[in-house]
Amino acid sequence: MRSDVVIRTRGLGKAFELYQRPLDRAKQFLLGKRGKYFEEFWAVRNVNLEIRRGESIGIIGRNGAGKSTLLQLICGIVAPTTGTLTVQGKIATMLGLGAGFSPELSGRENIYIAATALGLSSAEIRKRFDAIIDFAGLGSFLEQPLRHYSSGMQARLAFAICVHVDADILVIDEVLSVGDAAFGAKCMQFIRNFQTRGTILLVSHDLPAVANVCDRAIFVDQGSIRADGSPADVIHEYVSSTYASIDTGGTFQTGIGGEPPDVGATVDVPSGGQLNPSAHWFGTRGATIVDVAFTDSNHRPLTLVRGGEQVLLRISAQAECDLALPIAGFIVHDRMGQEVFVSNTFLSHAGDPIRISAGSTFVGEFGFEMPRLKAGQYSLCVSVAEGTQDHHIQHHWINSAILFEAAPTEPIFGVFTIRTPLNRIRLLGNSQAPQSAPARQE
Amino acid sequence: MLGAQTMDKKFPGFFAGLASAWRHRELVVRLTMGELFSAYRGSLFGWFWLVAGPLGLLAFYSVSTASFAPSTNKSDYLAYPLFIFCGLIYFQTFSELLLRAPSMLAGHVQMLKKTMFPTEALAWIALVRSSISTLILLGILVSFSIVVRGHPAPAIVLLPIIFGSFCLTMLGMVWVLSIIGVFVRDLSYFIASIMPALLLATPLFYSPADVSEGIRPLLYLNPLTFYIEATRDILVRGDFPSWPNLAGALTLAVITFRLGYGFFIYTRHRAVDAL
Repeated sequence: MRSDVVIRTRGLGKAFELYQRPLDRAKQFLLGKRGKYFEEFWAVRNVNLEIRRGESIGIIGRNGAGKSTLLQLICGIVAPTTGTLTVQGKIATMLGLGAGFSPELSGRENIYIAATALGLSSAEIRKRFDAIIDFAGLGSFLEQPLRHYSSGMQARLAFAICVHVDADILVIDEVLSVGDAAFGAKCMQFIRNFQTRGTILLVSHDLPAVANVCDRAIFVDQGSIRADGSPADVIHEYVSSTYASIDTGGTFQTGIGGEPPDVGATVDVPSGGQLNPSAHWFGTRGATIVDVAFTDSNHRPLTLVRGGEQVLLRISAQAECDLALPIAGFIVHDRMGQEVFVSNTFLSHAGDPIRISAGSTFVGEFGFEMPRLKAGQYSLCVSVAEGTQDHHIQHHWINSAILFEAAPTEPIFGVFTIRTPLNRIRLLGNSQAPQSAPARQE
Repeated sequence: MLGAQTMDKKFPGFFAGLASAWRHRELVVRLTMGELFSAYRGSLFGWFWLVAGPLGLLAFYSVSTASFAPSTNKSDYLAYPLFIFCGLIYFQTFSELLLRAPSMLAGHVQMLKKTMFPTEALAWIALVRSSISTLILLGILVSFSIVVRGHPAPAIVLLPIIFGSFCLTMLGMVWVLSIIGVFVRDLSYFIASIMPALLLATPLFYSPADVSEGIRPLLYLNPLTFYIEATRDILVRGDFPSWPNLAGALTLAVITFRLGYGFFIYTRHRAVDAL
């Protein structure tokens, strides 16, 4: 159905005019088309997008990539230089913290002004006023001037107003990260609820949040859309490009699957728990992961985990050049692309760094008790790198290297559960004095 | 006038300008009240300061003419301050808007770039804000004139039309100056420097009739002259203003408003980009 598309852009582009001197700006203004006294800066170029009703879209990209300009274009705050844009429905937006608020006025007065600006009549505002202050949780600060508010409180107020104006499209630019955890949870709950009736555009650097909230992600790079698709794929693309940009040696590559070098003494085990042949990878390939084995304590490959069992993850790699501070690490992602748990060998070898010479092989080994994960599909992302926790080069990063399924023996709510059976769970009435019952070991 | 920019192709008409103001009327009122609240919050007398300056002047002129001017009857020394004030109320709003217009867009950059704010409403906010005191004083002047002259002049019914046409002229002026002010930042300094000259070129303390025949037409190049003289005709002299002048001023007001609004809508996106 065509009317399902709420935002459609064709060749959308935005160039800003940059002037060297004030005189150039004045000349341009007077002469108009007859002269060109500015340099063009294309903040957004050739963006073709179709966004349907009910989609939740995460927009990711580095600082200055053009994310905010793209949102400004969609909201009609700036006019496009090229291309066309059609928007169906009412947009509510928060593009910046405190924008549109007057610092001298009280929270109450600012609510009235901001809600009026978003198109509500006085009667409508009065009707929703209590809901707004309840959502924002301002308490006694309601009558205080806004300059006394913390940035978190301002963000809460802005979000509370925004969500109460009955918009069809909600545009949020990096505002959620300011609030505290309780408010973040409230926002998430609202967003999940809103997703059932409206469209969300969310700009964020918080990749897990994008993976968690959005059903589609867009990676904006230098004004153009570089990737558009499922959050997991797009985030992979973004992360890999981030590592590509800090690579100085010029050996950075990306790819899918690929044959491990012939040296690999591949363990002859059945297919399960083994390197996924169609996995995306990137890295400078100063070292190459030749084998990944995810096994139980008896070295049997694992494709199904219950939780609580002892498991072993072995990442075998071959160094192509000398490695000063090699690190092997892994991330377990859930189906939405959220990081569930992460570990690497950096800390355990920070005291006595090992050197690996070119041509030799090395193994990162992780033995741990499998957490009791919520049922579902999980993937293991593995990598070998060189450097420290904060500064490192990714030599070989394989996304979704190993896929496995979690099938806990009992239903788990939340991401994972603590040690089962939970034999200390009790409900205590008033009559029963809480006794310090020691945890019984299994 | 346009660079490589695509923008609103249409040059909007007179009624489009009024319709936009009507559409955003609640926002204009709220934001004006907000600006005034912000300006006077924390001061002891608050809103009183909105009219305190002009009222003080009014009192000063009344007292000083009473003590210095060798007038014979009571109504004469009230008539002179009334005469001056018919000019001051317009000049006050005019100069305030003139000084504020070039930096108006730059002063609201957060609002213009981060929210979906109707840019054209800023001029209305500036106008409402600075004409509130004019309106209050106009009310005081009308009652003053009734005291001085003993009865209301019939032409008082024309005052709303005169004031409305003054507002349209001011809006057109603010829209044009606010855009130029973005591209030529010197505009605000220029305006501040010619303000004393404008004060003299406005018949505040004299009447055009006092000026020699040669320069008198020049005085009417200043749009304020008409509004000031028309108000004096009504409140001080108890006459009807000159009808051709009234028709001319109304036409000029409509043209200024239409061109100013059209120019603003046509160039506002470039102006916001340039901020």
